[in-house]
Amino acid sequence: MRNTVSVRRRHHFVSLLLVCLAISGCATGTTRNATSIVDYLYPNTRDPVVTPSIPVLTLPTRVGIAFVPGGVRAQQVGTFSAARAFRGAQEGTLTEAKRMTVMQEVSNHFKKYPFVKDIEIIPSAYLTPRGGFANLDQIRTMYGLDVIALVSFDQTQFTDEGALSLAYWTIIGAYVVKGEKNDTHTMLDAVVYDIPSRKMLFRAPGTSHIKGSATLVNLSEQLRKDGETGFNEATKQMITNLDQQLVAFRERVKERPAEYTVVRTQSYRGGGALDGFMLALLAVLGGGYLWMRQRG
Amino acid sequence: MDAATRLNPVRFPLWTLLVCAIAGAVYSSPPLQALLIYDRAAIGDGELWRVVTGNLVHHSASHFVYDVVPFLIAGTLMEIQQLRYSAALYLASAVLIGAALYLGKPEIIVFGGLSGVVTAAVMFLCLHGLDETGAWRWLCLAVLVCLVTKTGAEMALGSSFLFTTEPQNFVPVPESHVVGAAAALLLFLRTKRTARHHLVTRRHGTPGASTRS
Repeated sequence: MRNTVSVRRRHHFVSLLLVCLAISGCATGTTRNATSIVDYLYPNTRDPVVTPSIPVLTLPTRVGIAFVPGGVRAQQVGTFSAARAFRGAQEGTLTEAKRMTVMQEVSNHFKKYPFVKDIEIIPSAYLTPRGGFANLDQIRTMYGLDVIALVSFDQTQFTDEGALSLAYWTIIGAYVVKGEKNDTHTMLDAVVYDIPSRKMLFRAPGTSHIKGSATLVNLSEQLRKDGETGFNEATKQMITNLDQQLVAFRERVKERPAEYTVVRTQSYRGGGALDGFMLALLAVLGGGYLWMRQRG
Repeated sequence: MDAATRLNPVRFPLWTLLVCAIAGAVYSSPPLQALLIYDRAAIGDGELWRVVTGNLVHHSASHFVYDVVPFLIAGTLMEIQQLRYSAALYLASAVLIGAALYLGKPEIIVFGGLSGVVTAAVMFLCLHGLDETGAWRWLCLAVLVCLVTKTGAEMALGSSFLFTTEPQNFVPVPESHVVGAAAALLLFLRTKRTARHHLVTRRHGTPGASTRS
């Protein structure tokens, strides 16, 4: 008898637990689309350890820009009310066309720098998921690049009640943010690598947090709009941060010449130079002046 | 060359020797070179003096000799002939060359060399020589024609006309010569206008200075 009561209590407890889980499952609607540079560059290592050599930066340099191939970390959590949100978020995913626009924006901004010879925009199709440095070497040969800026993104849209948190997994570690109902968190992360030396030169993130204002009626559409706005805002911030990091990197190169070798090609260095012809002209002019002065 | 000029005592070429001395000091001091060279990035960061002082920096010994010796000759000729505005010409041409490179040649990150200022000095000297009489005038005309032809050929070739020094660790920038020549022409026209203005005021009874001091 006692056993029967005990078993019933256990059943009640398990049922209660299942109900709790089911309720929380309805409430935790989260859509996440992300690509990871760590997954791309270090696909087979739990603790990525690569010993970079000293980078030789030939100026002006050819730079490539590419989005890390993605989709592998896209995930959806939750059911019920979040279903519409998922659809909206999927539509708002960074399409190839949008990626090209973002890369073009970054390229236009950095073309002005004289130490940048060219910026090659590399379509996602050329990057193999989890391709690592072997894939980067192929791209380097194909495009004749020295340096590449790899852009990864992470966009999460919460559609549940209460506070949640998410962790962006960047090249330097996790970045945790709090999430609230219908919020859209976006992070773009550009990491600049010297391909031959495997050395990370600098990185610059761009983040955006759009407070949720959607109702159940327009949830899908609003989330899609928020997704787009999130990418736009994050792109702008990333470009600003790239500028700042570039300045800091230049200082670092000056301060630590042992860590970076800079080679300047001839076209980089100009000189106002005269020649023998000019020297001869002036000799004639000066000689003529003296001769005329002596003649009175 | 008129008789009065020939009989005038020779004026000490102060500005020319000063510029040569500074160029020599800069060449012998790498920290000074780093501080003064035309560095596009540093100029962008606000170190505006480099626009002017870049002209005083030279990349090698032969570069220094091939720039400073002609400058010494042209500048001395200009100053001993008591042409005014030598200092103004050096400054204006240096500013214009630096600014033109910054705006028009973004691929040049680092620049040094006095050749643009030398071109300005020779141009200015020869343009004033055209106002003279006798053989000096014809000599100045001949040099002017040669200078314009040479600069045009340099621009067409994108390089120095007869670059006879040993292989250099930089690319020649003939645009600096064009800008130097343009600066000289502008200053010459300005001095002519000023001289004409002084002549007019003198005719009306007000004493004024001529273009020669």
